[in-house]
Amino acid sequence: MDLKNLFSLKGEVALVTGGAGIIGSAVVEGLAYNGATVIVADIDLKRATDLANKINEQLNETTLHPIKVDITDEDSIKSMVNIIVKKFKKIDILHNNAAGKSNDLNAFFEKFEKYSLDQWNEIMNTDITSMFLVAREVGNVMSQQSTGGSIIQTSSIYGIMAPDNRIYEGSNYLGRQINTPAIYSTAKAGVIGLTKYLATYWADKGIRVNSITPGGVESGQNEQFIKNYSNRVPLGRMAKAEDMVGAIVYLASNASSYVTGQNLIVDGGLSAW
Amino acid sequence: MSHSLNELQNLNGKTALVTGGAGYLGMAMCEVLAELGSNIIIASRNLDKVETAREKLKIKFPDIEVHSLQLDLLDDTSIKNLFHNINSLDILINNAWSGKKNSFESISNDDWEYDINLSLNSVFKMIKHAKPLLKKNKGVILNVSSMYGHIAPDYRLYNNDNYVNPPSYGAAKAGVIQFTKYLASFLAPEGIRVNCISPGAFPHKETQQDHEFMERLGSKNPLNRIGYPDELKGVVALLCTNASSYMTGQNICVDGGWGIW
Repeated sequence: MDLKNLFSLKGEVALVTGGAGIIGSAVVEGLAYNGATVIVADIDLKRATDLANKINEQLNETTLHPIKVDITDEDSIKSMVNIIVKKFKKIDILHNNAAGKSNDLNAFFEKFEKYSLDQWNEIMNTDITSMFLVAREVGNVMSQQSTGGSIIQTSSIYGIMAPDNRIYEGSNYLGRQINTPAIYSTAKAGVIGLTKYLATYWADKGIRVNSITPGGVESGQNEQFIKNYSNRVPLGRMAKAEDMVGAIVYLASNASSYVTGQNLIVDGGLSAW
Repeated sequence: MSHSLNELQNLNGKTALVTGGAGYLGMAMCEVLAELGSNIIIASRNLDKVETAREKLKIKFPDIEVHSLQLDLLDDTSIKNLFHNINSLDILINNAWSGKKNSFESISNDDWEYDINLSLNSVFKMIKHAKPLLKKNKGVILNVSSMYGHIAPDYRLYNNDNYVNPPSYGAAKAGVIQFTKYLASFLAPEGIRVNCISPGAFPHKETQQDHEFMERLGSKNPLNRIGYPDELKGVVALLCTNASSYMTGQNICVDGGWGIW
């Protein structure tokens, strides 16, 4: 078996939700550079289109295709999957990656004692119910393909570990003081449960299901936060979105043909100590 | 950023040492590293076996250097001598294994000690010697553990004593997983990443002839089959290259989902 074929995604159709986001934009580029046709699904169609155009230009071919999806809307997901299947006939790879930001940051970062049920339900909906819906719709397509497929779902370091709340002192992001709300940990832990469940559920259909757990990705946090966070990591730095690409291509491709139900933790060693 | 895995996984000019590199799984590991451009040092107790492996690799990958060196992991002098012959090292894979089948009732103190010496103590000794070289090149360490390092064998699978997995094996492999995490922490300041893999059921070719046992073994995992050596190539290519530059202290299970249900 030759490695180029082992990791090659040539001829494969990959769907990445949140494809224009922080991690998604590195992933779609990585998948495209390894040969896949990539559907960049995002709620922000303009951002997805700009990103697809940029990478297509670099590659000098139309490999990335933007599409709008609202992952909190069942019909929007169904319609996206229909359009993809109509145009590309199949979906080999799903990176179930999108997670929603709250429209109300004050409510999202509220302390646990005062957390509103509405906000809890909203994030449950955007961060885990959405994954169920996308996995259900795409899984339906994959289970009818003789070739099965590979599903990768994005969890988070806070799905497997508790935050050290001291690192948020003096931190600033999105123009405000931040923290990690309990709902985020809860939803991301749910992603791991869903991943394992689907791994055995669809094993006989040739669908492998794994998750990826990124450590904190540097994306515009203030210097104090970056310092606080990096100090907790054996490798001494926050993650870059590109750090996820190797693990994603591994899980997407035949290079991981005997791997299912696993959680690949790309955290610079944070969870090792 | 590097765009394709080809760039991230390029090992041209690097040197990798694989213990047990001539064995059933070790050979696949040597092949993948050679394919990525790395020079290979195969170390094994049986010099004829490493020499044959060296020749095979040379035919497949004529552009890389392949060295075969004798190594007895139970002999401290042999380990020391091995490192006298190595002046540069980027990748160390601790993969070697040998041991007897034993049950909890049958295992003697000597067999227990043999297994712990070979599967755990030798990993410590190899890394101790390799560290200065790895530090110089900001290298990586990959330890080969096993699913039995974190999950118990189902005794019902092994009703034929010929295949019984000894209690010492899992104890040593569990040690390897924890030692990996320890080193990921303590070697991080030196720029050395340390990870391990836990292969599931990868029985040797002779064992595969027992179809009934293969069926029992396969049915223990969701993918409903045993694994084959080529299926470890991907994880080696991930963990031994810059494709995993932000991964350390991890244990990747290549086990068909064995541990998840």
